[in-house]
Parts: sequence; structure tokens; C-alpha cells
Amino acid sequence: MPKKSSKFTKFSPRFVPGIKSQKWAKKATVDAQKLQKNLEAHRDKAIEAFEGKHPHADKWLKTRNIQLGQIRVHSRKLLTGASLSAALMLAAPISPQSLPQKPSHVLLAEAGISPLSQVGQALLKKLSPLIPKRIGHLDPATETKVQKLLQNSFGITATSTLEDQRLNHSLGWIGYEQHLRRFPGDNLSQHDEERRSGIAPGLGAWGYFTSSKGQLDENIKLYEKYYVAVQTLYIPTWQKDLKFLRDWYKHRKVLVVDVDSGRAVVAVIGDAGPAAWTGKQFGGSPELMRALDLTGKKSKGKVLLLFVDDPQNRVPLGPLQGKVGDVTKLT
Amino acid sequence: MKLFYDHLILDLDEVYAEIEQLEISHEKRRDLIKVVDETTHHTVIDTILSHLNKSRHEKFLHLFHEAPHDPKHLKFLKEEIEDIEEKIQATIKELKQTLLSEFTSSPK
Repeated sequence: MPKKSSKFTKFSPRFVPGIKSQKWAKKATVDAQKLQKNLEAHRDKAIEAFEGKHPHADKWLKTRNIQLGQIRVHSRKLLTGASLSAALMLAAPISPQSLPQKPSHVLLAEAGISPLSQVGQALLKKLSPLIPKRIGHLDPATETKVQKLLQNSFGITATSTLEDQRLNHSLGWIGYEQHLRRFPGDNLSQHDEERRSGIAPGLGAWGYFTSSKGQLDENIKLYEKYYVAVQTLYIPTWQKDLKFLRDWYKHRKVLVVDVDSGRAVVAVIGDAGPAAWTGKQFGGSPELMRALDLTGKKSKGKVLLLFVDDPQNRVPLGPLQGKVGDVTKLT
Repeated sequence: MKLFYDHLILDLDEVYAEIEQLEISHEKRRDLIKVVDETTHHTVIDTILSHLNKSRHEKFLHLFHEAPHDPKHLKFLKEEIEDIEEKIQATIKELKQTLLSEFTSSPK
């Protein structure tokens, strides 16, 4: 019996800024097995070239059990090890009683007993039909509808393009990030929530949130509690306009809405990433991911991430349950 | 997980975008991404070693294997090789073209 060839279909629905090959405007089919085989052939050729040209390097790596193709795994092990060691060394002993008690409605929601707020339910009902399956950006007409919906639900003006700035995605997958160091000398034991996430061994893309512990105020604490990582590195003009863009994006306020649950959080941009190969477009701080109920096994979710137009800085950071002004904070 | 040369291989985003557009299972997509990623690492390190004086190979490999994410490696390489960033980017551009051609040359 002949081997069945699987068939992959490419669709065209999204535009990715900065990417020149928008070739998928026309529906086309690709032979899956052939594609995989050909890509593997290129990989094998690259491995052979490396081993042929640099046998000493190949031997050096192999004697240390380092596979170049798996270097990301090796890097992750090193960084996770460093992070865990740091956490074990720096974290003060914690008794369950010493942790801040969460409000009962949060505990109930976490346990799945309490339903979503009425605002969340109403939003979800109207939002779901507007959200496309594929990540990227909403088409302009749909974005206008979504903006009105968010304005009505939360009293917030949120948009994918603000002051001519636009990320490569406003609809994408968000993954769970670790805590970030807020000031020199900061460690995990000084963070009051979600300590199990650990603390990143390196600094966020914008460095410390403040220069010393003495300058750590409630605002700065909220910046780290509710931060997102976005792919600024894929902004086509990032290198060219580095100084301007770095300042523009630093701690820029964003609205994150889980399109599958209707949960919403206002956050700031606090880090850059994740890399394209991870399959995720955004990262969320431990508290942000908790507020979206994207922790534990489900540590990834599909979200809308939009800039908040808030020149007067009136929109508070944190989870939303109603309109800003008469907002009810979850935590 | 970041590697010190991740910002130099952004051109490959086009290849990942092509993979993303395929109607395939999550596992198959992950497999394809892994293959491209493996190809990339061999290509980048090949480029670096091909331009780096052989007497400095062991030092570089030692630094790299101890902390693959550390941006200081690029500083080290810049001191050793002229225009190393441009050289890596040029190689990646070639790799991108090669890999992209597979998405149009593998029709059903």
C-alpha cells in the first residue's frame, strides 16, 4: 500500500509588519513530508559542514556532551540552575501564615467556584465572535468594534497603534515569565506574591525598575507585578531608532485581555521577548498570569495586547473587573 | 531561551512565519521549528569559527558553553573578527533564502 502523503494548507489572513514575504495571499498546498525531509536535509548538510570544517571544535563539544543543535536546551538548564540556586540561597524561610492572604473572591475564582465578573461574561460573549483564529492583528473594522467593546466594558481607550507605534502582533500567545529584579540587591524573598515562579537571573530589557531599594514605591512595585514582555526586537526600525523607541516602549501601559476568558489586566511593558521560535508573542509577569488564570498546567493563553491611550496616567495597573473610575481590583 | 546571537538571526522570522501558516499539528510545527533552529546553530557557529583565529577557538567554545546567552561573547568576537555581526547576518540571510525556497518548491 502506498504511503499516504499528508497535505498542509497555507492560508493568507494576516499581515506581519516587517516581513517582506507576504506570500500566503494565495491559498497553496505544501507536501508535508517532502518539506520536512528537505528541511532535515539542510540541517544535516549544516551539521556535516560544521563537523568537516571544525573537527576539533566538534570533538571539544562532544567530549562535554554538548550538542550544538540543542544549545538552547543547554542554555535553559544553565539559567534554570542559576535561578534555582539563587532562589534557594536568597529566599528566606516562608511559613504559609506569613504569605499575604488573598481576598476571598480571588481564592474562590482560583478554585473555579466563583464565576467571572458580570463585566467579564458580557465582554466575552461579544468579544469571542470577533476574534480570528490566527494571531497577528485584527482587521481595521474588527479592531474598531473591539475598541468600542473595551471602552464600554472598562472605560479604557486601547489600540494596536499609538503615536505611529505598532508591535508585530496585537493578538497572540502569552507565556508565563519569572519575576524581575526591581533594584540592585533585589531577590525573590522580597517579592510578596507568586514566589514559586522564581526570579529571572538576568535583568529585564530596561534594566532595574529603580536604582535603589529606598526608591521602591508602590508604583514601582506595581510595574514589576504587572509587566509584559513584548517583541520590540522585531520592530523593523528598532536598531535604527533605538534611543527613541527604547524610551517610548519603556513602561508603556498596555491592556491585556484573555480572549478565551474575558479576564483583563492593565500592565506595563517591562521586558523584551519572547523569541519567535518559542511560538509565543508575549510574556506575562507571574501576578499578571495569575490574574488571567494562566498558571499551572495552562501557563499560556491567547490574548489581545493593546496600547492604553492614557496621557493623564489615570488608568491604574492591575486586574480589571469593571470600568476604570469605579474599578474593582481583584487583588 | 536567549542565545547571545539571537538578535542577529531575526531574518529567520520569515521562515518561522511560513511554518506558522501551515495547517499542521502542534507537534509537527514544533518539529519543523526544531529542525530550522538546529540548522541555525550549526550555521552560526560555523561562521564564527571560520573567521576566528584557530588559536582562539577553544577560548570561544569554553565561554559559549559556559553561558550561551551571555552578550559579552559578542564583545569578545568583535575584538577578534572584523564585522562579525554583519558576517553572521549575511550567512543567515543566505540560509533564509535557502529555507524559504523549500516552501515554494515542495508543492503537493
